[in-house]
Amino acid sequence: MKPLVEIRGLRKSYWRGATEIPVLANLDLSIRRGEFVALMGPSGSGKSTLLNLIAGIDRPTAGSLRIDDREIAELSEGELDRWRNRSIGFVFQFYNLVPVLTAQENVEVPLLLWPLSRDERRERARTALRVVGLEPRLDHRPGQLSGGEQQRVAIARALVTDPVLVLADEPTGDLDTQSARDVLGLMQALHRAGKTFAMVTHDPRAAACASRLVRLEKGRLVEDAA
Amino acid sequence: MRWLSPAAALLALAWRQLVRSPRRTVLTFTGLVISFFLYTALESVLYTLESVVERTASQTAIFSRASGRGGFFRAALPMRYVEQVRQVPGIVAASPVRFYFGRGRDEGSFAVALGVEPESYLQVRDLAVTPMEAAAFVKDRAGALVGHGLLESNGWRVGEKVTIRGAGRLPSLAFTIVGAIASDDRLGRVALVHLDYLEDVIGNAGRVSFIQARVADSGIAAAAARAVDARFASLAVPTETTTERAHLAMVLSNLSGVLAALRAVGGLTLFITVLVVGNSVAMSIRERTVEIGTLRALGFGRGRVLGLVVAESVFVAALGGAAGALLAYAALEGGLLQLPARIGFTLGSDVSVVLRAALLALPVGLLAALQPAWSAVRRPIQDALRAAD
Repeated sequence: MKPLVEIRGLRKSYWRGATEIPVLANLDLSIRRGEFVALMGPSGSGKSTLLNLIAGIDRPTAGSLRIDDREIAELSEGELDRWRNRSIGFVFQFYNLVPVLTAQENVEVPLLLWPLSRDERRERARTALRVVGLEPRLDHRPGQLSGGEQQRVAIARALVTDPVLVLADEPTGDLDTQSARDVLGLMQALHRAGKTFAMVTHDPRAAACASRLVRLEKGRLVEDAA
Repeated sequence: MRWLSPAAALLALAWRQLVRSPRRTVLTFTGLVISFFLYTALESVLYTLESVVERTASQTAIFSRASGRGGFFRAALPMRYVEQVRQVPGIVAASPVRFYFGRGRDEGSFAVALGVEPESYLQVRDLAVTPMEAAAFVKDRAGALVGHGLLESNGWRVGEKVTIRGAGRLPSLAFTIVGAIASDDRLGRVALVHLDYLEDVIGNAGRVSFIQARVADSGIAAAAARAVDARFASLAVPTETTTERAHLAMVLSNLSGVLAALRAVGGLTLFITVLVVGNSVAMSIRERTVEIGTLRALGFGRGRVLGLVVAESVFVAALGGAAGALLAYAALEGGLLQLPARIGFTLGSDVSVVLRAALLALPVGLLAALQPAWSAVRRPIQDALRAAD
């Protein structure tokens, strides 16, 4: 079976004036459907850049990046926007919820780009919040929720479009131990239910929840262990 | 029609963003209200001055004054011309008019009297007075018909004997008010007195400021004006005759500098408004850098995010603009805003002026938001998301 994410000879460089700063060098990596991959590495190792490239919010300098059998680098900006909306779920370190919207409205945000009626949108958001155990708090705004609850709302937002891949960037980095454990437990449960996760983390305890550990250093893959 | 639901939800999101920082929204809104109040008031001044020709100029009135004799207000035209003007074919009536300038009750006030021949003047000019008042004016040599505005600004009443103190070395002019000229008449701020009575007071009889005449038909007004000038062309005091429309346009052309200045102030007001609203939008966008990056990551295209931010700005500008324009209209209609009495015109507005000002709020909101919004959506998504770190 073809992998969900297939990366071959991926390079990413930034330019400071005439000086090239390589971030990722000839990276090869595959992620199968249903995997929970933890990306680890020291600061500047290129793990966040890799996550951004997989998410389609940054473009590679060279190489191939196929996700769900589509070459991401070949998509136009508009196609990439639509693809991200349909195929990728995001979980950010600081949750990135809209403070003036309720939990349910925040979860609805990605669905605003879908041709759904208001009732359909609400029903889907409610279901996603039920999955993360926050249905009783759907009318609360982010400011009225704890950090762990906000992150669960963000996970519900990432799930509501039923994406093929959920990308999490330090999802427990802003949480206390108990909340971090709850969030990781939720991600594990979703993984067991068949969701594919790629998570950047510094936290070994978070990485231990994943089914596979990929370690990067200076833009190169130095460890890949199941 | 399914797109309607997401579109409405996006508009709702734009609205929610406005109440995110109520103080900033209220301050921006207040600034917009004040700006559009001022802009509408200035536009109304321009409208009043520019429309006065259309609104008040008679199609059948012509004015003759001494050509090249130091202006319209000087009494330079021989009185004997009046009779000769009456004989020009097409002219049905003519009356001499002489200016008198002075001060009313208050030291700084400004009062104008026109010395006229009552019977002939009532033939050349349809005055906004009752027949009884017109008859009283004809009968009483020391009587005067006084414009409603002049009465109000001096606290005078019909039946009262009052005095205008002459400007410069002119002697004072006392008269009895026998009638009030309605405020919507262009003579709403002058006093009409008998010419012979005025001449008795100030001397220099036999000269008038201008001759006002009425022609039988509007189609021959220009030809009659030319015929009048032809009659006096070879004399020591030739005339310069125009239709009332052209005469008023000429008076207004003397105000062209004022009009241009008013236009410039109006334009400047809008420009400053764009800057103020633009600054407010830029602050709001800066605070939401991560949020905009998140929306972009979730699949919202540049255009859609741009639309969201611009919609917020246009929405608040439209509300502020409409409120400011309507307040100005209410103030003008309620008489709270007025031109100085010496201008001689009652300030008014029109729904078209208010509507135009309110509609201008839309491009103001658009222009204010465009640059900061465009900068925000052009920022790479990963950079915007990093702003949270």
